[in-house]
Amino acid sequence: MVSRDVVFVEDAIQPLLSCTKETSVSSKDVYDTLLPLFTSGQLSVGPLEAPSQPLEATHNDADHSISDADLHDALINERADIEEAKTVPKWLLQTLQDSKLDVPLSYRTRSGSHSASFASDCYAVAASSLCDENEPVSFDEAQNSENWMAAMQSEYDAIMKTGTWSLCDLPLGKKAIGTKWVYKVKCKPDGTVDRYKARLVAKGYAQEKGIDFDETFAPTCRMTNVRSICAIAAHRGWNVHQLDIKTAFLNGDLHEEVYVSQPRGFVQKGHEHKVCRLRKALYGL
Amino acid sequence: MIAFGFENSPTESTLYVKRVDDVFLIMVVYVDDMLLTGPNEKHIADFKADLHASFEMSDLGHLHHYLGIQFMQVDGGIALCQSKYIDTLLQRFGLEDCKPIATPMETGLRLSLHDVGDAFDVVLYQQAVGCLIYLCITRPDIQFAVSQMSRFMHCPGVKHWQAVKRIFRYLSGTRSLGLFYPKGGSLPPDLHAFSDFDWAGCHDTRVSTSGFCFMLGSSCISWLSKKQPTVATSSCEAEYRAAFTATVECVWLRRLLADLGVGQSSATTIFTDSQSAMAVARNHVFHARTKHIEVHYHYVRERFFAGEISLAYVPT
Repeated sequence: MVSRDVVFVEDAIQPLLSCTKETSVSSKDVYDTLLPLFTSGQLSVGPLEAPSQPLEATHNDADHSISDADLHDALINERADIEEAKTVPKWLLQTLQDSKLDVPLSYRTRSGSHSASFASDCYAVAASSLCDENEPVSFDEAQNSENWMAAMQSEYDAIMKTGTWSLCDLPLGKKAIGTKWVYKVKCKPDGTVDRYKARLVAKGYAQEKGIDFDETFAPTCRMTNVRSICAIAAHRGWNVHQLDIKTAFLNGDLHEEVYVSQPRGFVQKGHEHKVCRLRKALYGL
Repeated sequence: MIAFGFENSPTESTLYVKRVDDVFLIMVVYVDDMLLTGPNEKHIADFKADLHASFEMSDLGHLHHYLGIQFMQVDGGIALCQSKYIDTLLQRFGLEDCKPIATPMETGLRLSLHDVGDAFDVVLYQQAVGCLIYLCITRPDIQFAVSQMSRFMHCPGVKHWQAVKRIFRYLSGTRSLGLFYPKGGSLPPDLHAFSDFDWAGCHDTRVSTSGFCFMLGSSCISWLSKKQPTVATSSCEAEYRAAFTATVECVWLRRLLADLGVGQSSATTIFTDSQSAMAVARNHVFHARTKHIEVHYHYVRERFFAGEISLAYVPT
């Protein structure tokens, strides 16, 4: 039997169905019995529109004969729950991509997104208690403020100056990664505003290992190293100087072929459809 | 950096050294923060000007704050401390008004995974210990206590939290302490080390703890307090393992120092308070008592005969 969503191997399902009618089978049993089918590929699951029937309901109505659709829904439901607890199931991602939907952040992992938003809430509270200035969360909010527009301009100028990207048409079969402005008020130790900082970041989570990137790293040093140098400098009576490279990430050369969309507010007139081929790295990659 | 004539140190990938003619410059990179030092101020200024031409950067002048650590460069040497960080921590965990205490840990305190009273808030505990670990950068004195407390990160109890609070109490009375690196004479500084162990210190696994600290001249530059990977059947074995850990660090430090222009011409002395461990390192006679010790621990013996380290007794 072939349905739109699923190909059933009737022989494998039949014994299970008959036993469900007589004795109540726990959801785990059902899952265990059918899991090999999923993994071995005998039972292929297609895009699923709306799983609705929870498994418990099927159990309570054990007297009734269970329709194929019920069982199927229940299994998919459970499968989805288990998968979702870990990560976004591959097939769901594929479905969402096929249907041209953006993967909503809340779907990435249930607990993950929860704690992320919780952390950022806490952070916002902490930040606002330190500085009176509010930090905009989106471009729409920021574009009305002169301070933030100036900050974005400065970041954009730095990107242009270092030759971070070149405008081009998106080649067939390539995806452009979205970009996003992130805003942060830098405070002095006494709590007054030091400067407004806007940073353009790439939505790096849309990248795939092996295609968009191979290795990421930032050079951090051992503290033993820093202490040794200080000890030697002190011993010899040398001065230790300190430098801070601005836009440090933009100085790394990028070997992979990565495209990002043009940043909001800085889309080139007449080239609205073009994308940026990255020559150097951006934050978030 | 290579374009500026710097060589990347094979010992430490974030270290760059320039040795061209009479120019000698040392640079450390931490993502976008850089430390720069050398004997000649003019060479430093020249290099900064070169860098300015290629990168947008800000010159922060003499080192004063780096990665949350306060540095004070005075005539007599360089001092490192994290007293502001300690203030922040005491405030953050609501312990500003705690009563100072003289030691970071109760003598002979043996905490176990079990029998520690009611369970404590895991997140708060982990945050506190995490902060303390960062504080260990300039505070070798709390290293042992902190490494003990970090063994209970996954299941802290009220008693563990009390021990952590004691570390904070100790810190509140000693918040201005840090490291001081004094100015030396004309002789190159000599590297030496102290190694010790705590036999079967962990009550849950009976595993021993290794510890060492390395001194460059009179400056303490590297230290460690770490649980050994396996159970030691005798105190001699535990000490021998501790000496092994110190030897590994010693070999790395000697290479690092050579890169930094203070190569060690003589063997580095590791002081230990166990005569038996020294004897094991020196000769192969005690087979019956040492045959089960993993081969790689005999690295100590190898380095000893290679003349890179020497072992000396120091009474406890």
